[in-house]
Amino acid sequence: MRLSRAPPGGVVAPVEAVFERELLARLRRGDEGAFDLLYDAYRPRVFSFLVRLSKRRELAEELVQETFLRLARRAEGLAEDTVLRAWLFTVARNLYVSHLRATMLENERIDQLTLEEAGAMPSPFEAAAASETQATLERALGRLPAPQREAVLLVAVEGLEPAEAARIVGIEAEALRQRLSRGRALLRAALAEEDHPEAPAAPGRPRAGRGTGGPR
Amino acid sequence: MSDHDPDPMLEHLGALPAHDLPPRDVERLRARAHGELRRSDRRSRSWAGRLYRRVEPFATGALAASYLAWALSVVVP
Repeated sequence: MRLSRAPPGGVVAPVEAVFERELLARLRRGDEGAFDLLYDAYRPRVFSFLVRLSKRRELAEELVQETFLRLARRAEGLAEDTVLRAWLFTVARNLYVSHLRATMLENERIDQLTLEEAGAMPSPFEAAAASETQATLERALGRLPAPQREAVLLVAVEGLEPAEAARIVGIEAEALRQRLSRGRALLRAALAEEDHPEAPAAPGRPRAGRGTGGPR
Repeated sequence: MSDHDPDPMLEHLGALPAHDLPPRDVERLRARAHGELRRSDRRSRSWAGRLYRRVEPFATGALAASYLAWALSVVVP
């Protein structure tokens, strides 16, 4: 698969593993062209992941910039067997978690170092959705508890294997699968509620318009 | 993800579009990253950088060995 520069507003297809290894070797030598190819291929995906995870576009913009600056700074030191896709999502995710921890410490709330959310914020992508289906999915994704949302984003949206996603999140593969299964069930319930808003919500289901609170 | 009860809506998750930074920010970040690559390259090409890369593994090993020797001298009567 030949990788071409993304057209304005377009998204480059994922880089095949073999081609990515070649790019990695060039990147480790400081090749700016190799960086550009990887930057154009993964920037929209990492940015979108951060926006959907954090539900804050401005924060996602800061974090995606730091992610790629770190790639440039550490390019020479990358191991030969580095999987760049996993590396980028791991760094992006860890930057978000660090931001949360710093925010919680500032607010003197160190009760639990999990992905907490400040109430039911709408997804920044909901308003920009091209169709009602997309808007519905963005809205339902945004209502998931953060751990389940993260799992669904990495596997169902970004197409990563569960084992790879588990390494990115830093948990066992089985734990990731459980979060995924729970997230899928919650999504299904939320989508069903969108279709039948008059039906009472079952316990534990995220109801339209309300926050889902902390992680489950 | 469970395949027991496929939901057509959930199949659309993989088709959610990826959004991007504003074009101006894309190029600004690209320029900054190129600068970082060049700085890193200059550091690695300098004689100090080459010397450090050669010496560092041995220095680290020697430091670890000396610490182990000291620890043993403290613990072993």
